[in-house]
Amino acid sequence: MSSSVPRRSPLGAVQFAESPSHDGELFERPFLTHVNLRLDPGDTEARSAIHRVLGVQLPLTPNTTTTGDDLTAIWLGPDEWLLLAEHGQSGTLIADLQAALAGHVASVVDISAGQTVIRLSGPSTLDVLARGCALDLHSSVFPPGACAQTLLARAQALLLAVDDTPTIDIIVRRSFTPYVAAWLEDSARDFGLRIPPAAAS
Amino acid sequence: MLLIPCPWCGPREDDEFTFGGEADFPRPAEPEALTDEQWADYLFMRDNRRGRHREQWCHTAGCRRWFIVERDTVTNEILGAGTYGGSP
Repeated sequence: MSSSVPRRSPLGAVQFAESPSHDGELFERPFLTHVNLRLDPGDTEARSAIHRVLGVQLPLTPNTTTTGDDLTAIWLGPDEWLLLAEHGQSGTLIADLQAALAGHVASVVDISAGQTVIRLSGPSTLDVLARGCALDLHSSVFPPGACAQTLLARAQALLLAVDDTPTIDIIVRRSFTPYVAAWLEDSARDFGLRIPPAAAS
Repeated sequence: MLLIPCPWCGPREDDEFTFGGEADFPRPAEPEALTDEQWADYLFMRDNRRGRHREQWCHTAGCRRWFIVERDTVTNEILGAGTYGGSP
């Protein structure tokens, strides 16, 4: 692929701005590295090889994540994980994983362009999400580091608890992103998290 | 609304799941050896039990795994859930 092709994030045209009242934030974290990893969890040799590459253990407990210096491993299923890293890491990450997994039955797929992360932060975060998500996301049951795959306003979403602000990262498929963003903006408006209308058009 | 206990993700709303019909319905080992009637029986015929029913569900919007739920078809009470090979 030519490097002259401009990259576009799923929400590239939508500039979420900090709320004027500073009681919340809604913005996209574009161009992160998303790598889907599938592997037999019983293959301890492969898991320790991956540990050496990633610097973190793959989480085996459902709905949990493990975070290293520059990478988060997110549980997606008993044999499936999402690796989330900073922009531009997919090439080396995938090469390193493929080398580490040589001879093992595993799958490593770069899905960076297929989904994006929307971050919602502020005291009204849980109220905003509760309008379209049945899960209890209170930090007593969904503490920082927890994750959940569920439906948000009927769109499939992966939710990550980031901190106690609370801050939730919402990972959605690319084609769902404008819809989910519009829904979040609409839901957020009633809770004082105001996004300038012009920016979201 | 049913609250279905996914063996991995925990209890979730039934919106997140896909129903997969009666469980314990193994595919014939040699389909080519069956008569048309036996094959049709495997493909289409289910018991539609009243009461306790073991059935397959997939957590489509979650971990995307198939598992088994035991449900009372009269009261809709969920009696248990488990993985294939495990007991619901």
